[in-house]
Amino acid sequence: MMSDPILPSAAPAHAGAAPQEQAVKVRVRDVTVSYDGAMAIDSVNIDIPDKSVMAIIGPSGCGKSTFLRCLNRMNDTISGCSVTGDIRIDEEDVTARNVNPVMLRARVGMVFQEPNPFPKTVFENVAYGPKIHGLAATRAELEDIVETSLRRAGLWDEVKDGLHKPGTSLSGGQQQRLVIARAIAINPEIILMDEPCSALDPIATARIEELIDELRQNYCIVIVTHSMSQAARISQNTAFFDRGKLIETGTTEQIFTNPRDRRTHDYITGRYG
Amino acid sequence: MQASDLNTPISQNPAFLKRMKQRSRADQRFRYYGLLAIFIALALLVTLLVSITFEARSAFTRHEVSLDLQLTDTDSRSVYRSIRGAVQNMAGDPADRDVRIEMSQLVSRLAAGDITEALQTSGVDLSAAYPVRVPVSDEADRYLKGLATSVHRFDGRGYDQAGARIESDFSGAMQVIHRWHREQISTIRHREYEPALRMRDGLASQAEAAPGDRQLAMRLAGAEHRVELIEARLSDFEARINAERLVLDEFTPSVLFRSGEGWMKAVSISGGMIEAEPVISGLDPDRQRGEILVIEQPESQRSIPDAQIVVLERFQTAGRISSHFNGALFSNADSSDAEFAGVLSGLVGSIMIILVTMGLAVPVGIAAAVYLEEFAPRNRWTSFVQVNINNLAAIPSIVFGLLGAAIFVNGVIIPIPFVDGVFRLGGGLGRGWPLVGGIVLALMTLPTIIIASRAALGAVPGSVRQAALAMGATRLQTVNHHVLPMAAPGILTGSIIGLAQAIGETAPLLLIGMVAFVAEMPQGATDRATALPVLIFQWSTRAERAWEPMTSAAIIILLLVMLVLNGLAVLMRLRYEK
Repeated sequence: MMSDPILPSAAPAHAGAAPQEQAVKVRVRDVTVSYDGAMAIDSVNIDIPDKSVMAIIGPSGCGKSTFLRCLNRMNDTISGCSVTGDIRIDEEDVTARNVNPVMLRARVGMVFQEPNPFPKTVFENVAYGPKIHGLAATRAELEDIVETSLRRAGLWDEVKDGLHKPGTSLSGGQQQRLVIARAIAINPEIILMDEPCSALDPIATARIEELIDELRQNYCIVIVTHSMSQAARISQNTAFFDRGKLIETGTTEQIFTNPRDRRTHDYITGRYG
Repeated sequence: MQASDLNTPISQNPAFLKRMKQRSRADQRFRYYGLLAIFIALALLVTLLVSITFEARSAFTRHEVSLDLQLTDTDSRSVYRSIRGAVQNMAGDPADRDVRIEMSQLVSRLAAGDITEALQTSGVDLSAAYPVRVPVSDEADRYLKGLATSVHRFDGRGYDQAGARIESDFSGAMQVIHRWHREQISTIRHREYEPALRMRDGLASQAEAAPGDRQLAMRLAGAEHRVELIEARLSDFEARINAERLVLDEFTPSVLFRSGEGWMKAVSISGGMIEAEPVISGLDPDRQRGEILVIEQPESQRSIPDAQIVVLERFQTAGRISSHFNGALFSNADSSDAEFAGVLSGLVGSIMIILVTMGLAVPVGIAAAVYLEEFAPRNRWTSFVQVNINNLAAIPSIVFGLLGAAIFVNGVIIPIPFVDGVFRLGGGLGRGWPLVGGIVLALMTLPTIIIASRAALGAVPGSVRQAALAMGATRLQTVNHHVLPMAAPGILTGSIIGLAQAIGETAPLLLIGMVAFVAEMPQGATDRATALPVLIFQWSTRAERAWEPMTSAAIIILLLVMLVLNGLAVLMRLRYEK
């Protein structure tokens, strides 16, 4: 009865491989977010392991993106938004007032739903982070960082002859990989992705998924997705949110094959709502 | 069933088809309205430009007369005396003192200034004649341009002279004078006689209704008297048309007779003969080269007397009058004489004012907009500030002028209680300084720049801010690296619009004391100055007719300045948008 109709048979071999031995990177306790008094997420507790992909799924408006934005305190930039609770990265409290959100955001990169490269050249896009954080002492170092990041994002071969063309002239999928290259150019520890493939076609999506799978070796990745097949393909752990509450979290295999909660089951089998 | 039948396909539904037709007609109509609106706007603009250019065209040239000065000294008094002498000499040194004075007014006293300057820098041999070219007075210039009066010229060769009587074919001149009289008669009938008649008849019927009203009777008597007076004038004019010999004076057209170098002025005229008095002696004894001039406007109604016309014509036939580009318009400061007046002092004043305005309003305005849009929390206090900035933008500029005069020039005087003294807040800056003008216009421009900049900043997509913030950029870095460059074209446009408005502003400048006549070039921002729009205002209020084209010319120069400014803005925009 609780058979898995979604997990594709052609899923990468490592998907669902036991990630439990990974140390916890982010520990979230009792996090509650409200916008002008309206509760958006309610007392979320979750542990996100390092060097793996955590997928966050759930129906629209369930607070997935809000939760994601807690992790790099992007919610601070929204007026009327209040966050309570405790978020620790490597056991360090990042919600404390004395933690500089700028410092935090250098450690926690973010990729948005719509590709949003700066209206500058491809090179300037990737070089921006290293420049403002002072990571490259010389031009040669900067060029090196840019090339490495673009290679890691799998974009180098496509843009190496057009580094000084505007980043916005690339295709949607290339733009999204450019944004990922920009994020990893400052070597963050965590990368947050908010539905990174929802504006892309299946081929571009496949390339991004491949890329996420490679990046998993070095980073802790948290991805919000509407596509359950994508969650099943690329993540090791999955969290299901519904109406601002974390309903269930576990390994992706367990969530998709043997969900403990009725709502999770209904959602992944498409019977929700 | 009916049109509402859901089984009918929409493409066959008559209600739909009818509505469709109406909708496309409405569409079409709207497009025509738009075209019409654009056409009206363009037509008005073209009319404005054409009429101003047409009005101004005579100001861009001026007539100059070549004189050979016999200098006695190089100070401006002696130079002016030499100029006067040269003019009178050309006119055959008339004996009548009044005529001599009238003639010498052909050239303004101010002409001596420029010559004196040139003399003192170059040095000159006083024994030889010194050739110069000086502008003629504004009225003489208008005459030479054909703007002062209409002049009719007839052939006057082969005349017979017996003392003051000159016999020739004066029938053409006679015709002009008769026509002028007939025009006067019809004007008087139309404008004076008929209204007077109506008034009299109206009063008469009222008086009939109320026979005992003495006041009414008096008014009726007055009206009757007035009708009689006008009738007398009319019959006088009629009699002149019918008269064999017509007496000419300063209330009739003038008839001037030239032969060779000599000039006579007619005191009476008949078809074949005038009685004339000499103005410049020396009629051509060969009786050739004769010319009859009829100056249509009576001497009492124009600013250029016959004597000056004669001298001008004398210079003209001697080939000493030439028309040149009026460089003074661009290189001179303001002057009380139109032929020497220029816009340069106003231009310099305007540039200084606009530099002060730009230096204050643009950085402060952009900083305020960036703070309000990017940094300030959204609360009651900031929305209060925003509402008041919008209110400031709607305040008439003259109020800013009052504010500037009160705060920067006069100071606000506050009496100190219990002590016999006052406290003066502000003040101390001089009246008519470009610095004060700049500050006042900056205050006026600030809201425009803030509003335009806020709109431009607000139009920058939030995703750019998010991208930068998520990369770990600080807010300032986000604004400086990403938001401001993207908003720059809009901010620039807003600033330029604000500054262009400021450049054309007159009222606040008048209030801070830029009303006075300033004939010197301003030396700095703390020197009395004038500005282009103020100059235009002042010129438009001056009495002499010559200021009309000058005013239009100054307007064209102001428009050109604005055009240059807007061109710069477009260029900067294009560079930023790349």
